[in-house]
This record gives sequence, C-alpha cells and structure tokens, in this order.
Amino acid sequence: MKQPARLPPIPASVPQEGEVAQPTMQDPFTQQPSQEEVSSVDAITDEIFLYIYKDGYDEIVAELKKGDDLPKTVGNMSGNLVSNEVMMLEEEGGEFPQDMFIEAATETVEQFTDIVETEKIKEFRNDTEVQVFMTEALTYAINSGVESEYAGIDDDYIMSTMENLLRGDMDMNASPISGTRVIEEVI
Amino acid sequence: MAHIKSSPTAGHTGRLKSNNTMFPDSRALALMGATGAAQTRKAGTSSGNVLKDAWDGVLNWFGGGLGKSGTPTKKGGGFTGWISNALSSGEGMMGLGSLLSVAGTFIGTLFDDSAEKQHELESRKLDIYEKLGMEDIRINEMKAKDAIRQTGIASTFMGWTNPIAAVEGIVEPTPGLVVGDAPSEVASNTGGFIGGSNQGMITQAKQRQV
Repeated sequence: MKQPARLPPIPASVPQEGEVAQPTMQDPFTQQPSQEEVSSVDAITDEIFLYIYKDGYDEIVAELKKGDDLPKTVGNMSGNLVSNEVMMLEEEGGEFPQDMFIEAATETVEQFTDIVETEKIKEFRNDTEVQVFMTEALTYAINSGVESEYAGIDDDYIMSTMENLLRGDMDMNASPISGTRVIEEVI
Repeated sequence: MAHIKSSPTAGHTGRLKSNNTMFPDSRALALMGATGAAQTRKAGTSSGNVLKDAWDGVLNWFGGGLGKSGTPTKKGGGFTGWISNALSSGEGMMGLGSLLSVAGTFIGTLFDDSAEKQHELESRKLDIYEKLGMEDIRINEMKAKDAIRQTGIASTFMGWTNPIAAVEGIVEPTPGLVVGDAPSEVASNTGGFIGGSNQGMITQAKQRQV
C-alpha cells in the first residue's frame, strides 16, 4: 500500500464533558485552594443552591423580576445568602475559611445569572455582557458581606485581600466550574 | 435591600454546575470595586452608592493612568463602563494585568491614609503613568504597522504590489501581496517551491501571517 506523503493533521483536542475551556486571560494568581477549602465552599453553596432551586425559587424569581437594578439585586441576595449560611454554620460549631467567602459568593452569583438567563429576565448579547453583569453583581455581593453581621468580612479584610491580589498571593481562579446543570442530583 | 433567608434542607448530594463562569479578571475587577467601596467607607467619604464608591476608589488609585477607559461614557459610565472596557479590551484600555502590575508597585501606599504615604503615592503615580504611556506607545506602533499592511493589501494591481506601497513592512513590489520578512528571500528563489520559475511563490516555511 502506498504510504501517504505526510501524516494527516492532528485535530485540536475537543473539550470533553466536565472539562472547562479556560479563558486565555491573564491570571496573576498562583495559589490553589486546598481540598478542605474547596469542600467548605461546596458545603455552603450546596445548601444555598438547594434553597435557590427548591424552596426559594419562586420568591427569588419574583424578586429578580421587580428589581430595577438587576446586578445589585443579584449581588445583594448572593452576599446575604452566603453570609447567612456561614453564620448558621458557625453557630452550629462549624468553621468556614474566611478566604473562601468570595469564592462562595462567586458561585452563587453564577447560579443567579443562570436563573436570570433561564427566566429571560435579561438577555445577554454576548459573553462580555455576562461577565460585566457578574462583575457588578459580585462587587455588590462582597459589599453585602461586609455590611452583614458576619464578622469574617469587613473593610480591612477586603483591603488586605486586594493587597494579596496585587502581590500575586491570591488565587481568584479557585475551583472553576462550568458545564451542564445537574439539578436532578441536588433536589 | 433584598434579603432572603436561607432555609436549607439536608440530605442531598451532588454538585450544581453553572452555565456561566466568572473569568479570573472579572473576579479581580469585582474585588477592586469592593475595595474601592471599602476604602471610601473607611475614609468617611462614601456616597452610599456602591458602584460610585467603587469607581471613586479605582480613580483614586489610577487617576489619569486609565486613559480613555477612565472617561465615563453615556452607555455605561464609571465603574460599569470601565469593567466593560477592561473585559472587552476596548480601545485605549490598559490591560488588567498591566494595571494590577503597576498597582502592585505602590501597594505599600495604597491603603495608608497618612499624609506622608499619600504624598508618596502621588509621586509614584508619575512612574505608573509613564509605564502605562509606554504601553500606549506599543499599541500605537502595532496600529501603525497594521495600517502599512492594509495599504499594501489595498494597493495590489494585477497581482503585483503597487510600488507606492513599498513601505517598511512591504519589502518590494512583487507578484501578489508579499509582506514581512519573506519577500527578499522568496523573490530571489527563482526555483520556486515546486521547481518552477514563478518568483512570487512564498514558501510555507517563510510565510508570515498577516
């Protein structure tokens, strides 16, 4: 059999299910959270997501629909939910790593953004619009955490976190998640 | 303010995954905004509007160094307009990496309200603007080179580059559009890449992406 003159081009790898195509943006953050920290975030956000998609869904959608400032509504709800959940955990004797507050708030904002899209409360024209929306919402969420009764997050903490980010000590890319929604598993 | 109390039910398993994932840059920008708000609150100058405070904080750090992205627009002024530019690499917008990098150089003064530190911060801003200005120059250089190439593309006639377009970046008039480093070597390759006499053939090895 005649040999081909050259090998056929190897196709680029296709992301498999569960894998995340990472954005090619600059990532100045180096540290990865420990497995314990990731588990702590999961424990908090599991409870929040269960509430969001089960008992609280109708109330949340109604709140989102009447909100004049959607990023603010999403951010404040996210910040409040995370703060409340962490405080409840601590009241029960549990511990939550302070540094994971932003991660938990981020994941919550992402879920709310899914709901905003699913319920057609706001239509995003492109990915940048989604990112801008979530950035604004997370700003509100962090601020909401600062203003809440949760003692772990205050102005000084936020400023020192920013310092860490500028020094490159902080990981803002902790446990990136994306993919198919698996509501059935949770409810 | 919206406030919903969580009432979780225990006993479930599995992880809920979102269709929307925040980029690291988005998180960093949100943290910058929240820090700006925290700083104005600590300084007692908070307006009560989180995004306005966030923007005031960012302006306080970078000031004129933000370039065009520091100018509020009708569509989305202040903080919103800025993050929109930052995330879409809008014209005149410094990359977030550059901003974080230069902000890191005056980190020691960023959150210190003492007059001495603030004076130091103002002094260092000059260095920062210089760095950002150099970045601007690099961007303008790239735009200029691209304009030269566009001239070459628009100036071909019957497959030959117009001699008028023989500017830097378009080495010499040759058949077809030949740009960059390849032309001088390829044009002298009378053998062509399949042994013919077509002088305009560009070998794949030397071809430059335009």
